[in-house]
Amino acid sequence: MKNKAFLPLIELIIMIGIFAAAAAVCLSVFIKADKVSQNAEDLDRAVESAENAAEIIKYTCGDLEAAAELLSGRTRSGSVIICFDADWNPTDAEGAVFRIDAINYEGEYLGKTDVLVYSGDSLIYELTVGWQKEARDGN
Amino acid sequence: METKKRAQMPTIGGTSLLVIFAVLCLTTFAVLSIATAEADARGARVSAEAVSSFYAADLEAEEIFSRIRAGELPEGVTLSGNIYSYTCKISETQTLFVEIEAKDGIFTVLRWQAASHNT
Repeated sequence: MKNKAFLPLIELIIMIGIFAAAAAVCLSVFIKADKVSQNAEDLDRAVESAENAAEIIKYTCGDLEAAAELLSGRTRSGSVIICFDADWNPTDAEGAVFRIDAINYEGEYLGKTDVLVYSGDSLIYELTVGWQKEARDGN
Repeated sequence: METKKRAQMPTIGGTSLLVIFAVLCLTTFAVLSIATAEADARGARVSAEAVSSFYAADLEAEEIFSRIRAGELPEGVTLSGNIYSYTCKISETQTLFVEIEAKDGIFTVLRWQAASHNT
Protein backbone atom coordinates (compact mmCIF):
# COMPACT_ATOMS: atom_id res chain seq x y z
CA MET A 1 0.00 0.00 0.00
CA LYS A 2 2.72 2.42 0.94
CA ASN A 3 4.66 1.54 -2.24
CA LYS A 4 1.62 2.20 -4.38
CA ALA A 5 1.20 5.67 -2.86
CA PHE A 6 4.65 6.66 -4.09
CA LEU A 7 4.01 5.65 -7.71
CA PRO A 8 2.06 8.78 -8.75
CA LEU A 9 4.71 10.95 -7.11
CA ILE A 10 7.53 9.18 -8.94
CA GLU A 11 5.59 9.41 -12.21
CA LEU A 12 5.06 13.15 -11.66
CA ILE A 13 8.74 13.76 -11.00
CA ILE A 14 9.78 11.80 -14.10
CA MET A 15 7.25 13.61 -16.28
CA ILE A 16 8.39 17.02 -15.01
CA GLY A 17 11.96 16.06 -15.86
CA ILE A 18 10.97 14.92 -19.38
CA PHE A 19 8.96 18.11 -19.95
CA ALA A 20 11.82 20.30 -18.73
CA ALA A 21 14.28 18.57 -21.09
CA ALA A 22 11.91 18.84 -24.06
CA ALA A 23 11.14 22.48 -23.25
CA ALA A 24 14.85 23.32 -23.10
CA VAL A 25 15.47 21.73 -26.50
CA CYS A 26 12.46 23.42 -28.08
CA LEU A 27 13.42 26.78 -26.60
CA SER A 28 16.88 26.56 -28.17
CA VAL A 29 15.22 25.72 -31.51
CA PHE A 30 12.92 28.75 -31.20
CA ILE A 31 15.93 30.98 -30.48
CA LYS A 32 17.82 29.60 -33.48
CA ALA A 33 14.76 30.08 -35.72
CA ASP A 34 14.54 33.70 -34.61
CA LYS A 35 18.23 34.25 -35.37
CA VAL A 36 17.93 32.64 -38.83
CA SER A 37 14.89 34.77 -39.59
CA GLN A 38 16.69 37.94 -38.45
CA ASN A 39 19.70 37.12 -40.65
CA ALA A 40 17.41 36.57 -43.64
CA GLU A 41 15.75 39.93 -43.08
CA ASP A 42 19.14 41.65 -42.74
CA LEU A 43 20.28 40.08 -46.03
CA ASP A 44 17.11 41.23 -47.79
CA ARG A 45 17.59 44.80 -46.53
CA ALA A 46 21.30 44.70 -47.38
CA VAL A 47 20.54 43.66 -50.97
CA GLU A 48 17.91 46.39 -51.28
CA SER A 49 20.24 49.08 -49.89
CA ALA A 50 23.18 47.94 -52.02
CA GLU A 51 21.02 47.97 -55.14
CA ASN A 52 19.79 51.49 -54.30
CA ALA A 53 23.35 52.73 -53.78
CA ALA A 54 24.52 51.06 -57.00
CA GLU A 55 21.80 52.66 -59.09
CA ILE A 56 22.47 56.12 -57.64
CA ILE A 57 26.21 55.77 -58.30
CA LYS A 58 25.45 54.71 -61.89
CA TYR A 59 23.12 57.71 -62.23
CA THR A 60 25.78 60.14 -60.95
CA CYS A 61 28.49 58.39 -63.06
CA GLY A 62 30.71 57.97 -60.03
CA ASP A 63 30.33 61.52 -58.66
CA LEU A 64 30.84 60.63 -55.00
CA GLU A 65 29.76 63.99 -53.62
CA ALA A 66 26.44 63.89 -55.49
CA ALA A 67 25.92 60.24 -54.59
CA ALA A 68 26.64 60.90 -50.92
CA GLU A 69 24.09 63.68 -50.87
CA LEU A 70 21.42 61.51 -52.49
CA LEU A 71 22.20 58.56 -50.19
CA SER A 72 22.41 60.62 -46.95
CA GLY A 73 26.01 59.49 -46.54
CA ARG A 74 29.44 61.09 -46.39
CA THR A 75 32.55 60.90 -48.52
CA ARG A 76 35.97 59.78 -47.36
CA SER A 77 39.03 59.53 -49.61
CA GLY A 78 37.52 58.05 -52.76
CA SER A 79 34.55 56.31 -51.15
CA VAL A 80 31.06 56.96 -49.88
CA ILE A 81 30.01 55.74 -46.45
CA ILE A 82 26.37 55.37 -45.48
CA CYS A 83 25.49 54.31 -41.94
CA PHE A 84 22.20 52.71 -40.88
CA ASP A 85 20.62 51.98 -37.53
CA ALA A 86 19.04 48.65 -36.56
CA ASP A 87 15.89 49.52 -38.55
CA TRP A 88 17.92 50.44 -41.65
CA ASN A 89 17.28 54.16 -41.30
CA PRO A 90 20.21 56.42 -42.27
CA THR A 91 22.08 57.58 -39.18
CA ASP A 92 25.45 58.94 -38.17
CA ALA A 93 28.48 56.77 -37.49
CA GLU A 94 27.95 56.64 -33.72
CA GLY A 95 24.63 54.80 -33.82
CA ALA A 96 25.49 52.66 -36.83
CA VAL A 97 24.57 48.98 -36.86
CA PHE A 98 24.94 48.53 -40.63
CA ARG A 99 27.25 50.32 -43.02
CA ILE A 100 27.67 50.61 -46.79
CA ASP A 101 31.09 51.41 -48.22
CA ALA A 102 31.09 52.39 -51.91
CA ILE A 103 34.68 52.45 -53.24
CA ASN A 104 35.51 53.85 -56.70
CA TYR A 105 38.00 52.54 -59.24
CA GLU A 106 38.39 54.52 -62.45
CA GLY A 107 39.85 53.54 -65.81
CA GLU A 108 40.03 55.51 -69.03
CA TYR A 109 36.47 54.93 -70.17
CA LEU A 110 35.01 52.70 -67.50
CA GLY A 111 34.53 53.37 -63.81
CA LYS A 112 33.69 50.71 -61.26
CA THR A 113 32.34 50.95 -57.74
CA ASP A 114 32.44 48.18 -55.16
CA VAL A 115 29.39 48.41 -52.92
CA LEU A 116 30.05 46.57 -49.65
CA VAL A 117 27.42 46.12 -46.94
CA TYR A 118 28.66 45.44 -43.42
CA SER A 119 26.90 44.39 -40.23
CA GLY A 120 29.40 45.52 -37.64
CA ASP A 121 32.67 44.20 -39.07
CA SER A 122 31.09 41.30 -41.01
CA LEU A 123 30.55 41.64 -44.73
CA ILE A 124 27.03 40.49 -45.51
CA TYR A 125 26.68 41.49 -49.16
CA GLU A 126 28.72 42.98 -51.95
CA LEU A 127 28.32 43.86 -55.59
CA THR A 128 30.29 45.75 -58.23
CA VAL A 129 28.64 48.27 -60.53
CA GLY A 130 30.16 49.79 -63.66
CA TRP A 131 29.52 53.18 -65.22
CA GLN A 132 30.82 55.07 -68.22
CA LYS A 133 33.24 57.87 -67.56
CA GLU A 134 32.80 60.97 -69.65
CA ALA A 135 35.07 60.67 -72.70
CA ARG A 136 37.79 63.22 -73.22
CA ASP A 137 35.84 64.61 -76.13
CA GLY A 138 32.73 64.91 -74.02
CA ASN A 139 30.82 61.75 -75.22
CA MET B 1 -20.10 -6.10 6.38
CA GLU B 2 -19.62 -5.69 2.82
CA THR B 3 -16.93 -3.45 1.56
CA LYS B 4 -18.17 -1.37 -1.24
CA LYS B 5 -15.91 -1.29 -4.17
CA ARG B 6 -15.79 2.17 -5.50
CA ALA B 7 -14.69 3.06 -8.97
CA GLN B 8 -11.41 4.85 -8.62
CA MET B 9 -10.11 7.51 -11.00
CA PRO B 10 -6.79 6.44 -12.50
CA THR B 11 -4.04 8.16 -10.57
CA ILE B 12 -1.23 6.72 -12.67
CA GLY B 13 -0.93 7.71 -16.36
CA GLY B 14 -2.93 10.94 -16.40
CA THR B 15 0.14 13.13 -15.93
CA SER B 16 2.01 11.13 -18.54
CA LEU B 17 -0.70 11.73 -21.13
CA LEU B 18 -0.72 15.45 -20.39
CA VAL B 19 3.05 15.76 -20.64
CA ILE B 20 3.21 13.69 -23.82
CA PHE B 21 0.61 15.98 -25.41
CA ALA B 22 2.48 19.10 -24.30
CA VAL B 23 5.81 17.80 -25.59
CA LEU B 24 4.24 16.89 -28.93
CA CYS B 25 2.79 20.39 -29.28
CA LEU B 26 6.11 22.03 -28.36
CA THR B 27 8.01 19.84 -30.80
CA THR B 28 5.55 20.56 -33.62
CA PHE B 29 5.77 24.32 -33.09
CA ALA B 30 9.56 24.19 -32.89
CA VAL B 31 9.84 22.22 -36.14
CA LEU B 32 7.42 24.56 -37.92
CA SER B 33 9.26 27.67 -36.75
CA ILE B 34 12.69 26.45 -37.83
CA ALA B 35 11.30 25.24 -41.19
CA THR B 36 9.71 28.63 -41.85
CA ALA B 37 12.88 30.47 -40.87
CA GLU B 38 15.00 28.27 -43.16
CA ALA B 39 12.57 28.85 -46.04
CA ASP B 40 12.87 32.62 -45.47
CA ALA B 41 16.66 32.37 -45.44
CA ARG B 42 16.65 30.34 -48.65
CA GLY B 43 14.44 32.93 -50.34
CA ALA B 44 16.74 35.74 -49.22
CA ARG B 45 19.80 33.91 -50.60
CA VAL B 46 18.10 33.28 -53.96
CA SER B 47 17.10 36.92 -54.21
CA ALA B 48 20.64 38.07 -53.38
CA GLU B 49 22.11 35.75 -56.02
CA ALA B 50 19.66 37.04 -58.64
CA VAL B 51 20.67 40.65 -57.94
CA SER B 52 24.38 39.72 -57.99
CA SER B 53 23.92 37.94 -61.34
CA PHE B 54 22.19 40.96 -62.85
CA TYR B 55 24.92 43.37 -61.77
CA ALA B 56 27.65 41.01 -62.98
CA ALA B 57 26.02 41.00 -66.43
CA ASP B 58 25.54 44.77 -66.23
CA LEU B 59 29.23 45.24 -65.43
CA GLU B 60 30.22 42.98 -68.34
CA ALA B 61 27.96 45.03 -70.64
CA GLU B 62 29.53 48.28 -69.39
CA GLU B 63 33.01 46.88 -70.00
CA ILE B 64 32.08 45.97 -73.59
CA PHE B 65 30.58 49.45 -74.03
CA SER B 66 33.79 51.06 -72.82
CA ARG B 67 35.80 48.99 -75.31
CA ILE B 68 33.44 50.08 -78.10
CA ARG B 69 34.00 53.69 -77.04
CA ALA B 70 37.73 53.03 -77.21
CA GLY B 71 37.32 52.05 -80.87
CA GLU B 72 37.39 48.29 -80.54
CA LEU B 73 34.90 45.75 -81.86
CA PRO B 74 34.87 43.12 -79.07
CA GLU B 75 33.99 39.51 -79.74
CA GLY B 76 30.25 38.87 -79.70
CA VAL B 77 29.36 42.44 -80.72
CA THR B 78 27.59 42.86 -84.06
CA LEU B 79 27.65 46.12 -85.99
CA SER B 80 24.69 46.86 -88.20
CA GLY B 81 25.03 50.25 -89.84
CA ASN B 82 25.94 52.41 -86.89
CA ILE B 83 24.25 50.28 -84.24
CA TYR B 84 26.26 47.96 -82.01
CA SER B 85 24.35 44.99 -80.58
CA TYR B 86 25.40 42.42 -78.02
CA THR B 87 24.06 40.32 -75.18
CA CYS B 88 25.28 39.37 -71.71
CA LYS B 89 24.00 36.34 -69.89
CA ILE B 90 22.41 37.02 -66.51
CA SER B 91 21.22 33.52 -65.68
CA GLU B 92 19.93 30.38 -67.36
CA THR B 93 16.64 32.13 -68.11
CA GLN B 94 17.58 35.82 -68.41
CA THR B 95 19.78 37.81 -70.77
CA LEU B 96 20.77 41.47 -70.93
CA PHE B 97 20.21 42.88 -74.43
CA VAL B 98 22.20 45.98 -75.39
CA GLU B 99 21.98 48.20 -78.46
CA ILE B 100 24.16 51.30 -78.84
CA GLU B 101 24.03 53.83 -81.63
CA ALA B 102 27.21 55.59 -82.65
CA LYS B 103 26.67 58.83 -84.52
CA ASP B 104 29.26 61.54 -85.07
CA GLY B 105 31.34 60.14 -82.23
CA ILE B 106 28.42 60.29 -79.80
CA PHE B 107 27.19 57.03 -78.32
CA THR B 108 23.53 56.65 -77.44
CA VAL B 109 22.15 53.65 -75.59
CA LEU B 110 19.05 52.52 -77.49
CA ARG B 111 18.40 49.39 -75.47
CA TRP B 112 19.67 48.12 -72.11
CA GLN B 113 17.11 45.52 -71.24
CA ALA B 114 17.03 42.38 -69.11
CA ALA B 115 14.63 39.91 -70.67
CA SER B 116 13.74 36.28 -70.20
CA HIS B 117 14.49 33.86 -72.94
CA ASN B 118 13.49 30.28 -73.60
CA THR B 119 16.25 27.83 -72.59
